[in-house]
Amino acid sequence: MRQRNRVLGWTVMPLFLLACGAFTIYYFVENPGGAMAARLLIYPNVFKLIQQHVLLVVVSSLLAIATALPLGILISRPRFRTLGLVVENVVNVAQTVPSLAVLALAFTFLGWGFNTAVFALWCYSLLPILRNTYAGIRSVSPSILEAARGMGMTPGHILGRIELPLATPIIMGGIRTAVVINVGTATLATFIAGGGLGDLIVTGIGVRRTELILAGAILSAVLAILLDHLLSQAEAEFG
Amino acid sequence: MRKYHWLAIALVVALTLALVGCGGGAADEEWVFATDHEFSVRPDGLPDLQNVYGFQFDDVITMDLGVTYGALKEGQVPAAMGFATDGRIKAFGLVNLVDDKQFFPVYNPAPVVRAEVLGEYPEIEEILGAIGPRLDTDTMIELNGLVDIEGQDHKQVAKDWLLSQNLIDPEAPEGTKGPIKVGSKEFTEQLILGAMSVFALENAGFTVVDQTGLQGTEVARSALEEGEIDTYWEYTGTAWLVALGHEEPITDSEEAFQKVSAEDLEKNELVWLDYAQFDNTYTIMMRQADAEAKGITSISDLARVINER
Repeated sequence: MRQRNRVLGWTVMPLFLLACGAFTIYYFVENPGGAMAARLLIYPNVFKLIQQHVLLVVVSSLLAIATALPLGILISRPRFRTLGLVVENVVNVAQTVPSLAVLALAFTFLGWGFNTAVFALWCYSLLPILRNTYAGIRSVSPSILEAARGMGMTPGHILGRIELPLATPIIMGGIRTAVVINVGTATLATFIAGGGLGDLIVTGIGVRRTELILAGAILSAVLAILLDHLLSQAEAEFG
Repeated sequence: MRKYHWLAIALVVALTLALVGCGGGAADEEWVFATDHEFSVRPDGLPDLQNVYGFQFDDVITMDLGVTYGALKEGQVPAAMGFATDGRIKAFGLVNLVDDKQFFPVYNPAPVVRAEVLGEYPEIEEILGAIGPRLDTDTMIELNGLVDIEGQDHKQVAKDWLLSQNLIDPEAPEGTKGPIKVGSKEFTEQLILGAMSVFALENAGFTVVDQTGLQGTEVARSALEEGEIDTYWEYTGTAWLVALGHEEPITDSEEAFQKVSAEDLEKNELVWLDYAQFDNTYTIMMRQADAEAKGITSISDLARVINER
């Protein structure tokens, strides 16, 4: 039964979401609602924007996981306890900075383009992953750790076999939050020539064409749901 | 089982790297064009420009309007769009390409005054009408640049220029006539033009109520129509397309001025005084050194160079 759910989760739901996305693209390309929107809503262009958007999200998220996960583990070590508290509070405050401000700051220092957009997204998605990794590991009950030490496990073993497996749901929660936020924030990359579905949305706002706004917004929503679902599947696999 | 997990992770990373590899190809292309969002789809924007001149950029990158100047300056794109009188054009060593096929609609600004006010003080026509004909594109770029690039106050810039043209005296007389309410929109060029109107009127003995800095065309225009303000500088093309609601843009300065002023006088009792020489329309820009090296001065030259390579 569990096996069957797993297979369904990897196939039916993703295929359904892909079908939703495909239908959205088909609908808006065939009904752009005017010559202005029709200049952007053509198949090669829409696919190019989706590819750019996925790239922005995936590259920045992978980089964020690769940095925030080890950092989170590091600050959860007992010898860095004070540092951990400081980092946790700083991160909580940093999370309140608006994403557009992060993008604008990155632009001031790094100029425009894809790489700057990835950098800004990376900064912004570091925080949930770092916080959840730290909180997840800290939430492991001291009595379990005591028992593990009593059995003679080394700190490395405790981390790999006790702490990380127990913290996985919380860590994955952080990663999922980060990725979903990233999909939304990536629509702002268009301001600094980062491409992506924001091209459609911002142009749509500029020239008052609802079709452009809807096409961009629906496609990024579908993308967010799809990535979130795939990550929850992955969580079930690893957990 | 473990092995399979690592395989899955490796697959995701490999796919991403492959995607990045595909995306990276664009940098090698020679003629990449930087544009803002609106220009990429507008009827007086890029698609029809390319049709009229008969060429095609290799790639088009969309970004915020303010970013295009910097992208061009730093050599990340060979050509970009902007607005013809922006101060950064001169400050960044850029050059406007001549629109030799008159593709872009014209946007010459002129002081628009309510007919009622002009009836009471007919001398205003001469006072404000004297400013426009002395303002050409280079002058306006320079004045905008003094404010935007060098951070000078727009009022000081306006005053200095009027003094240098002997349009005002260093000390304004006591205001005995009026009051005249002067408005403007909120961006640099408008603030400078509005300040010029204020100083010129004060110099002629008017009491002036400064209402400059109104938020956008809609606000300024309806304020004028309803008598909240008595004058502000409007662009012929904007009045034609926005306020008078026409669909077909006009691409000749004199024709646009004649049509707009005739229609506005008849319908709204607004009088258009003499228009400025400069035309704040869209522009296609290149780096000056680059354009000279390639022998490009007009958009037709650009089209030829792109098509012939």
